[in-house]
Amino acid sequence: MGHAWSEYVTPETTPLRGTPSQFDPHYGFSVPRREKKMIATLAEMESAKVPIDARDFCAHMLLNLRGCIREHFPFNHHCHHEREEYYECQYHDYLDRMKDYEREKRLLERRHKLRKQGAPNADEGTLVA
Amino acid sequence: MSLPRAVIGMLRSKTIYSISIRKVVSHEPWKPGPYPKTEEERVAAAKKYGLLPEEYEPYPDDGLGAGDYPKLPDIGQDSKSEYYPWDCPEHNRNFGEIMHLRSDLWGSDKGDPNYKEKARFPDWQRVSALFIAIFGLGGLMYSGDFLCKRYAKYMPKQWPQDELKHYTYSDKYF
Repeated sequence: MGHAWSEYVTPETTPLRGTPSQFDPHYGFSVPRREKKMIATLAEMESAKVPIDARDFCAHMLLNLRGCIREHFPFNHHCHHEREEYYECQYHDYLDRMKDYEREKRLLERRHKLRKQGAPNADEGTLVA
Repeated sequence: MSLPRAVIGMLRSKTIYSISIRKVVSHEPWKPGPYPKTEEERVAAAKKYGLLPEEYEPYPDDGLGAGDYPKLPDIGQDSKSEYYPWDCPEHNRNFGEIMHLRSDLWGSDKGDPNYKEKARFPDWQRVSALFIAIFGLGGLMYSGDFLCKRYAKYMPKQWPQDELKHYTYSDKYF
């Protein structure tokens, strides 16, 4: 079942697009998850003129790549490793979003099922109703 | 850098312009004459354009410069027969044939004053087909943007924010 259809048919068990998570990020984990840290500082990004849409959690690797290119230009293939590292970071950023989606979907389905059963702990871990 | 003295002299005097007007690009040979007022002028004008005096009729003398040019029936190239052995088949025209004053507008690549006689569909059908195609497709694209978007199987992109914390599954990155 595609998402566009589920949005209308079962909106209560579907993570609606563009909306943040409704659950506590650590709910269900035995060990609390590691917080995402922004390594590059704003001053660094501003002085390197990093575009606004590239100032995500991988910006420090973009800075690294740009510095390498600046050092080796025009032999940019010397920065192959830095480039792959940056892409890998972006991939993991995306992977986090996909895993969060799956977690959100399963938690929504679980909460829905518990609410229908009338379980007292149905809203456990919920931030937003 | 300067031009030779002889050339500068030719440019300063009007000689070169008067020679070109007279010899090279002159409108005089094919400009229509003045509007015919007397019967003799009418006959002379008809003879000039290769028409019979009874079928010659000039444009009204309304100051638009048609002069004694004959008023011919409004027939575009598309309305002329394509099976007649024309001297100039690309323009459907015989050699020396008197041309219409507006013949520059009525070529096969432009328009035809009698297009409705040969049109396959009436005008209202043609216009409505155009509008239905443009606004129908545009409306589908516009409404489809709201009604059926892509299947997005991921949460919104996480940006570093002061008030909102994000958590990762990765051990190596971030």
